[in-house]
Amino acid sequence: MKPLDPETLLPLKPVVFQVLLSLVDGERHGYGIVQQIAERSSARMQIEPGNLYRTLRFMLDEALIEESDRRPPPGEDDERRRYYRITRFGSSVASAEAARLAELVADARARKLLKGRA
Amino acid sequence: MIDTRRTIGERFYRRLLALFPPAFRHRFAADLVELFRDKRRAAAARGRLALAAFWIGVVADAAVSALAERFRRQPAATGTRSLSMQGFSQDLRYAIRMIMRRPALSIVIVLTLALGIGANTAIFSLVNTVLLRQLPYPDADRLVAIWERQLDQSGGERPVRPANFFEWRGRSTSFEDVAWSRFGNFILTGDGEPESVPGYRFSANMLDVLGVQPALGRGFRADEDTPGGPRVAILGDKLWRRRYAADPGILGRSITLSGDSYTVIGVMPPDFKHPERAEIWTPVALSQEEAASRTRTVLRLIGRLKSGISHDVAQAEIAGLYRELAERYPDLNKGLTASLERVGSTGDAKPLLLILFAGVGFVLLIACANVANLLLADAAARRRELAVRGALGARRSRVVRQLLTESLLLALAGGALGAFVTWWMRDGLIVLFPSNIANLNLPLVERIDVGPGVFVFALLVSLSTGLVFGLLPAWQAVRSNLQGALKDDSRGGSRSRRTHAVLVVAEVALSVVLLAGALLMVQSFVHVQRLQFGFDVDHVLTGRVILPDHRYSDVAKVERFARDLIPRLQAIPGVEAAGLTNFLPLSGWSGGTPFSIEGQPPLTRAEQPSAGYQVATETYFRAMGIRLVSGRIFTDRDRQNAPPVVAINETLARRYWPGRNPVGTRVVVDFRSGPVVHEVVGIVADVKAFGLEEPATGEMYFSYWQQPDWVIGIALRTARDPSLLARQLREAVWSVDREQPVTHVLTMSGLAAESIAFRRMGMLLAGGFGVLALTLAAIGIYGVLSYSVSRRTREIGVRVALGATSREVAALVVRESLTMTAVGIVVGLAAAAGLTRFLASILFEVQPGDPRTYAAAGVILVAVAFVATWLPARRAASVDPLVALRAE
Repeated sequence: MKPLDPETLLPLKPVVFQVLLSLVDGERHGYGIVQQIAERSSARMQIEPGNLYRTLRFMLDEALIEESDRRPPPGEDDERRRYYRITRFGSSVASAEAARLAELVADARARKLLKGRA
Repeated sequence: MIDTRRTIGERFYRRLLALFPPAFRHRFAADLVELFRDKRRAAAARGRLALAAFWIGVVADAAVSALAERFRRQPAATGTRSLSMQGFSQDLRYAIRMIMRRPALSIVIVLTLALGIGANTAIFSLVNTVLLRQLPYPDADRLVAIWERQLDQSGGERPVRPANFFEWRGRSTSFEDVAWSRFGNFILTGDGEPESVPGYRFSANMLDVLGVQPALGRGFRADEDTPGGPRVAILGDKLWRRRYAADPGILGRSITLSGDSYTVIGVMPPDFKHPERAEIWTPVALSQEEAASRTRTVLRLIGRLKSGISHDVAQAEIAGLYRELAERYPDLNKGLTASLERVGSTGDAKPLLLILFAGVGFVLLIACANVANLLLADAAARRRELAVRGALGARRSRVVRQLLTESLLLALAGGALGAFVTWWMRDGLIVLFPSNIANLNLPLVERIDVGPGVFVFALLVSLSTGLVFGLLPAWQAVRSNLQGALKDDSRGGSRSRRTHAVLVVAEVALSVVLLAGALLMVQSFVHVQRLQFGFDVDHVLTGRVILPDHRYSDVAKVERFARDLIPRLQAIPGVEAAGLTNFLPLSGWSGGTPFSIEGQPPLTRAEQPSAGYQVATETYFRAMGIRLVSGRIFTDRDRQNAPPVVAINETLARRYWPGRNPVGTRVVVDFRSGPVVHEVVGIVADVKAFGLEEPATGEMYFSYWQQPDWVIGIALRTARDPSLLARQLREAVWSVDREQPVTHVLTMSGLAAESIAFRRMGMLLAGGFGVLALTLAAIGIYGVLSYSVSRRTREIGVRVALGATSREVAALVVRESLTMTAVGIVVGLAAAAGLTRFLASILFEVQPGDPRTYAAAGVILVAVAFVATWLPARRAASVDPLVALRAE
């Protein structure tokens, strides 16, 4: 049974949230996701293959993401690669997680742990 | 380079994926490999360190993720149990702490692994240098050497007769192009001492066929490859550096080769070795007459197959073309064919290296079993600690990760130590490959390359070793109920004892296989060593001289040189006899001549028998210690105008004069100048000119004075250590001709040792692996029995309290040991029976299934098991029931 309420999956493991974030602006293949995450974290977060596909397996099972049937035109990239895209459910889980994190951050700000606009 | 490493690394990674549950693997394996490739490419671009880090990360990740995936709670209802990268440094710190806390155990493990991994790395460095070496030619797999040979395989492979080649060249469709070359030795004078330089004469298209260009300058032009064309030369990199201090200004300069002036037009790159040992190249420039010769076997051909044409197709085409030639010229070509050989073939080195590689893999497996046993025993001791961690909320995957981190760390430490030792000893293995003997069918290896490829291999082996011996304890730790361990410390022992026993059985079985193989190789070596060379190897010094045509333009001059040389050689203090020949045994040189026996029906040229062509002075046989079997040796009366005489060896006598005495009969020998009738005056003993294992060939010895030769092999029999006379030998030659180079001044005993070095070193390595395997197996048996005795102290105490004698108690331990050993030996012998047949090609006069060898291997293992059982059995026998029972 798939949980319909995004809240039941929260809090997300950081790696799951990272994958969701990297899929928000378009579908990607495995290495694309790894690169995106490395870029966003200034290379602090390196995801190894086994870990990534375990995470993707979990996310597919939970219907957070799905396999895309579109492929880039031949020549531009390897056609054999599998591409993933975020599901509507995945988006709402990502939003819920973002909101949860935002609340936490707002709390941290209120306690003067973070500088910047409140 | 990059390409092979890619496939090896990738294959390794694919194997690793087998750790994942099948469902996961089917779904994601292709993507995992794809991602692996991408990441590796990125890491490789950042340098070697990044690549090493990548490998460690990727292997650890595969192991941990696979275990986590296997132990995942089904179905995943909430949250994910996947592992993140955070906490890795924590695991690392924890692992280091655990390793440091048990220094003795850790040192034993690291040393065991260093031995196992080091031995593997060393053998891999050989395999890498010899078998995996890349030829410096593009599409090298399309290059073939072409040799003529007899259809009945007699006489071996010979260079090609020019007229045959030029006739089929135009009709063959398999090749893009075929280039031809001939041997050419040069004497280099000017700019220093006279030097004899091994060279080759290339057709103008040779470098294009090989696909290489000079590093400096240009290759030969067609107009230079014609008789009377401009004299030009290309230098080898080594010669250029040695003699001309790597001066780029060498281009356009003229050098003197064998008396003629040549213009240097190019310098080849350092890795260009075609053929091996050649250091200078000139155009072959065949004359019309040379190109039309149907009898002289002189051309060495290299062809480049058209892309898409297989080796077999080309071979079939060539065979067909030779059948046509045989029909057209039955007189000369009947029974003749040609065969293709891949360029860069590794000859006899391959089977032995692969066998050693397999053997050393067994050693590593035994080492792994040992370490796994040690870690299992240790994990049992840590059950409480692990249980506490479980109770405090540590997830199973986390525990697995920590145990694996620990074993990977141990493996890396062992691997680093092993790789370092390999690198340090890298020159030790070079003795496998003879540098002075050219005809053993072994590749010329100048140095063992211990480079990045070898270190990547050591890293991969270390990581997989860490996984192999680390997974079992980790698995058991997870499988056993963590909470259960808190309650009772001594239950669950029977299953773990069975695991220990299975590991020991495996160790014993592997040792039996290794030992049986090693014993077979030792016996082969003993058999080979018992053979005789047919001459007295000790106290002989040899040297080679090739008189250049330009200064020795006729036979009279050659003869005078030899006449002058012999007394000067004999005058050297300590020389008992001095003789000359053309082709010294073990020198790699040989030649043949067709002949017929007078009074027998005439034969066509193709049917005519042929004998090895040797010339010798009357003193040569005494200097070499070659025995006279019957008749007489030459005398100094057998000279130019005396009746021609010949001595033959036993093999030739047996083959062509079966049951008759050849002495006194006459043979017609077809010299290039025409047939000459010779009287057979004597029979001498066979000489193993191509090494002990090669059968002797039929040889004819002509009197040097009747057939003076430009190629001269000097043999000196000395009273003392012959190597001390090397200087005097050179000076004697120079006292006759100041400009004459002398090469290969070597002792016969040294050459003889080199000729069996490959087999000896192979035997020593295999024997070493056998001893290593026995030692490890003994440690394994000892460890398991000690552990078992300590676990059963209470049980033994009860038995003793109930009246068991110390003898009976010791018997208990011995029985346990013998059961494991016996099962191991049976399994091992069965495996050996299956596996030793792969040794067949390198064994000599011993059968792979030799029952005595198997029996010996079994007996040795039983003996070793008894020794390993001694201490634990004594400890069990001395158990004090009062102490044992109070302990609980």
